[in-house]
Amino acid sequence: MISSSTTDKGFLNDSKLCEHSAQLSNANWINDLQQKAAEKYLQQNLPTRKTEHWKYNDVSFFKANDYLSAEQLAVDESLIEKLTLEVNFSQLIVLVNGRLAENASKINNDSVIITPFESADAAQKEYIGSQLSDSSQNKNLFLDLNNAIYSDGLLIDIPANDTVDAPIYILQLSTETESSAISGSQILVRCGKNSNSQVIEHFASLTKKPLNDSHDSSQQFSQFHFALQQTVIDIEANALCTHTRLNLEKPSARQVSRVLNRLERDSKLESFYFSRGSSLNKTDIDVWHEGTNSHSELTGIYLPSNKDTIDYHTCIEHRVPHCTSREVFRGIIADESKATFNGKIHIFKDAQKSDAQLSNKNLLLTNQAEINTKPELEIYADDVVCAHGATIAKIDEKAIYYLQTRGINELNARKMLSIGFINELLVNIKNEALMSAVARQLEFSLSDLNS
Amino acid sequence: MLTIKNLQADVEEKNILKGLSLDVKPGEIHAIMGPNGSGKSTLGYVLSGREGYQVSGGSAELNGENILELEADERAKKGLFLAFQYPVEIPGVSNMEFLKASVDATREYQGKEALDTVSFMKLAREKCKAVNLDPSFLKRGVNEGFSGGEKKRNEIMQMMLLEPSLCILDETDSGLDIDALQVVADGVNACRDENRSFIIVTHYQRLLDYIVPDKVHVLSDGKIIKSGDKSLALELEEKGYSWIEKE
Ligand SMILES: Nc1ncnc2c1ncn2[C@@H]1O[C@H](COP(=O)(O)OP(=O)(O)O)[C@@H](O)[C@H]1O
Ligand SMILES: [Mg+2]
Repeated sequence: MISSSTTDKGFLNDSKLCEHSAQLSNANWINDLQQKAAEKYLQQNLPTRKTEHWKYNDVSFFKANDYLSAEQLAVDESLIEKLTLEVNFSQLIVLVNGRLAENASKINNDSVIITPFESADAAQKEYIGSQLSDSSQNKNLFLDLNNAIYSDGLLIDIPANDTVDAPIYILQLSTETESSAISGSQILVRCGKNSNSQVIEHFASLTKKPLNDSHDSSQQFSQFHFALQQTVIDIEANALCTHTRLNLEKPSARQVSRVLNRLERDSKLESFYFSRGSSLNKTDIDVWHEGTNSHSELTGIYLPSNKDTIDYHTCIEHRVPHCTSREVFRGIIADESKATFNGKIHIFKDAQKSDAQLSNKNLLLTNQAEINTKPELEIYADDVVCAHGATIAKIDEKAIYYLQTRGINELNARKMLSIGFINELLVNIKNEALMSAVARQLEFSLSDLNS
Repeated sequence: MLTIKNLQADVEEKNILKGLSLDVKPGEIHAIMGPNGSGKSTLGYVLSGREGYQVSGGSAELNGENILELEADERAKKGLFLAFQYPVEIPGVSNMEFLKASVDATREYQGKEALDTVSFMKLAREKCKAVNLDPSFLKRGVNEGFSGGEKKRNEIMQMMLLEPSLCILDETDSGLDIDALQVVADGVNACRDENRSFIIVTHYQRLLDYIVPDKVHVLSDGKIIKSGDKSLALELEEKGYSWIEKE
């Protein structure tokens, strides 16, 4: 168990933290923002297993000797090609341990403009400042820590009225490290009025050994950077953003992250989450309906196995009237893995005619697999439609037998039933190449299931 | 074809089959009748390899090979087919995907050439037609939301696709109207040949008007207590089972 005294927050005691943020960026205005986040971080205690938001995650690895890696690593371009899942993109951003890898990225600023925070102009600075200040509303001190330590913040500007045909692909890699290292990442996506864009976020681990696509826990990796990450997607009036977020790290990877989605009037968010879990994989998803008649769709699939964990805390806030939200998450929990799904719907007092639906279904493959699913409803308006459901099921052994009597062996039968459990969610990925990439991941994750 | 000798089986430590013997020769049709709870479904489960159905004695050989040690899917691939009394619904897995996986696995095991997707679809649609199921059923989840009769016809369609050598039909006629009964009977009759045998479990003589059995057996309390020809079925219809049980 970790002590909760402030001096135990690793390198992040007052003097060191400030030192680090100063060393990372040279722009004063960023330093000021980071300083504020650092102060907020330092006021909080590290979570223990008793802290509600962290009940099912172990962060005791986070110790006094953690350090911040500021190193900028070059990555092999051929490797990147292998990693990008055969999906065409309009621009590629590669971040390694939170640092922009310029050689591997393909940034052309062709209509969509990608600006490192350091090069922001006055208007952009103001925008970044206000987004980060708004986003500091969170219940997760690691996000404050992220806001204090990230180095290569990026602003992605999708111009108003623009339709971006191919996705913006953001690949974030964590490398192996001998000692405990931590990295931060901050991405702001501004979808201009009437724009239509696709954003893919893909997280992976980079081993020192040659890359193979295995998620085999018998292979011993030393640890990876502890990756902290935040993405803010701000969708302006009447814009559509299609967002896909894939967590395909190695089992020993650790990530704590957050996606904040802000929806203005008549805008639409279609997002898809996929994760196979790892030793710590926690994503907070916030959706703020800030403009009337906005619509959000969240789909998620999680497939932890071995001893991996996965944690989604989602919170849909209907702040204004006449918005709709649809959320469907399904998980297949194998071996001794553990999943947490917390789905909150918060309907504000004046948000009349809100229509919110949330469903979470879980399939446990073994008796050791664990799911903690918790619905939370906070409804302060009276004229709303709100549906909320969570289920936990086991594989239907009768169905396995039935398939077997038709010549399908047990392993394949289990695989068929598992895929059948989540298959129908895949159609929510509109990009075909991406859909088949995810389908391959699915096949792959389910192929080494133990019966 | 199928030789069962003194078969004994337990479910949840309760002895259900109590020394059952049966000899089915290639091309024969045997009907098994008997009161509820006598062990008819249990016999199908034991032969097909359902988990939890423990064999405690006796033997069962399919084409000279002991099948009782094999996994359920291996028995199926060796030509044993069970049409379920209550076919299982599998949402999320499409009927087409299921049938393809099933036919692929079976053909591969039997050393037959794999069917490409196009020929398979063609075949599947043909068989749908043969059992009077709309081909749109291929796109639906396996048995998902099918009516009782549709489920039974789906079973017969699977039988036609898999071309098994021994078919066990567990009350396939129960709950069917006369038209559906005709479809099932036509399906069975179309599949009949000198190398394919059938065990037809039924309560009703009426199915046997359409499918004429070579032998009729009465199963009671886990044993076959009387065997005869098709006239036995008529007699049972008239007099019930109790007169035999008393004999
Ligand atoms: N899973 C089970 N657990 C306990 N008893 C069972 C189970 N399945 C069947 N039985 C018992 O086995 C006997 C035979 O059942 P069954 O084979 O279904 O009969 P039939 O098909 O002839 O109506 C019945 O007494 C039934 O209660
Ligand atoms: Mg029965």
